Amino acid sequence: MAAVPAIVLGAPLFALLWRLPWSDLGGALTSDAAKSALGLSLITSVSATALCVLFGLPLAWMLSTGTGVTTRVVRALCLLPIVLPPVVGGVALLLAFGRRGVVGQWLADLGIQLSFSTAGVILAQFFVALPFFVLSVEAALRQMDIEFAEVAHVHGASPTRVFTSVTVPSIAPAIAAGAVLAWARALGEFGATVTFAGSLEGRTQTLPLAVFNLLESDPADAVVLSAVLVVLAVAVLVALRDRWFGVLRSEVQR
Amino acid sequence: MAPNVFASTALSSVHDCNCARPGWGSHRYDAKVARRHSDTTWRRAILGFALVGIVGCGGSSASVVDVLAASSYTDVADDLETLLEDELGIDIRFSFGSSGTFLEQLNQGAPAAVVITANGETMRRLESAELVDASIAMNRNELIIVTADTTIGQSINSLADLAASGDAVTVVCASTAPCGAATDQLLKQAGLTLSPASREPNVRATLTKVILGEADAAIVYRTDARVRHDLRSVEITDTVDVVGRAASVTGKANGANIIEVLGSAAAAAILADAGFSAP
Repeated sequence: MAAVPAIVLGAPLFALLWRLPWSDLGGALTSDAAKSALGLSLITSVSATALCVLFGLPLAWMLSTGTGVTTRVVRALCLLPIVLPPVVGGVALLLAFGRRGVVGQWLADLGIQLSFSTAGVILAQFFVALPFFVLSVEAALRQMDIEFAEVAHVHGASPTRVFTSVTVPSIAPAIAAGAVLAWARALGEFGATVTFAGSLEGRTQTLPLAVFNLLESDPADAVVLSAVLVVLAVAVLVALRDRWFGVLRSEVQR
Repeated sequence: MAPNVFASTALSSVHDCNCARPGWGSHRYDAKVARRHSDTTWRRAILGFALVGIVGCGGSSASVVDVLAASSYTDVADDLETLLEDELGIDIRFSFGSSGTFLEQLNQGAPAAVVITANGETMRRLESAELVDASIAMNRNELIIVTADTTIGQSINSLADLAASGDAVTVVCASTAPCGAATDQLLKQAGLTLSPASREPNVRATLTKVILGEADAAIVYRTDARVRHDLRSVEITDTVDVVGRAASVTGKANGANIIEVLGSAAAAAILADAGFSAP
């Protein structure tokens, strides 16, 4: 029985590496489309991750301390992008932030158009990646020993000081793990991006979009770029191995 | 029903998380409760997935004959499907995509008996890969401009206007899609350059951006422009036309019969009704 999932999960990875045109690797990676997609993906995914940390940290803190209906509603909203098909997320983003969208029309009056822009790509990635960061950090905040925070508070530290000097350092590993997870999700984003931001080389065509496009004209190059994404995904797993596999080990010992 | 099962499972897991944590106090105890809750949640989730799998499999039937068509045929497919089913007495199912992907899809064994491509070039590639039998010309289609109900959109009256307008948000098809290849050819022969805001994967995605008002203008097929009467369309002088072609997939039953019906006068009438020209 275990062989079935092993084959289902393993075979595509194996096939991808098997079909990799090793002799043409350099050519595929240095083509204009590939270079601009790599650069764009790097810039947008790192920006989206920075936004996730900036806005996700206070949000996670709010969710971890609140118990009311508002908290639950906000948490449900926050989880939504995980269960939502990304393309639906893209449609929703268009209706909200598009030129004629609920928010977008005000932005348009200010001369800001998010659809078809690199900022739109970052927004789409932020939308899909934020839940991963918030969930990771919220879980850590809830499991955190609050005694240290209480001690700091009793000794006269302001809530802000407690948060920056005690809370944040004690959940730093979760922040890092959440950020890596959010980055990986942002990097792989396809559906919301192509729907909301479109696809234009150098401006909105990120790695996954380039792979999709190349599949129609140059499948070998598409395989090479796919392999790049696989390598990055494996790197994420390696970076988080202690966190995830560590949990598994401690479960086994228990 | 199946999607509901999964949705309720997903929601119940959110709900469980909430009740497992009344406050900061006894978090050790909470953790145990949470673990127990998450166990049942997992069981429910697995059950949900299993149900989705079973119900999902029940939906497909082996007797359906698939036709793979370019997205520009979306609106004539219902009528063509009815015609084919009446004539041949078999269950026909259309699915749509960008013609550029058909080669890869057929190579990987997509279960289509017939393919309809938006242009001759993609069909030639299928023919030279020996994936399909000899093709027939179905129709002719021309590129035109559609504009949105925006000030900039309304000011565009020709391809030259579009190329000259620096402010117009223009979308066209990706070069890999037939409509995009035709657009490139069109611009080349007119000696004009465009700086599009996006090159969409297929013609319908391109049109949608104008329908939603995200783009001021788009270059699409005449038939696509007819789908939405509220859109203003602008003729292109010396436009490029593309010939849609259909072929049966080599070795597939029913393929030749379907092609025969698609080449009939009845099919031609349906296509003409939708704005396609005769080949």
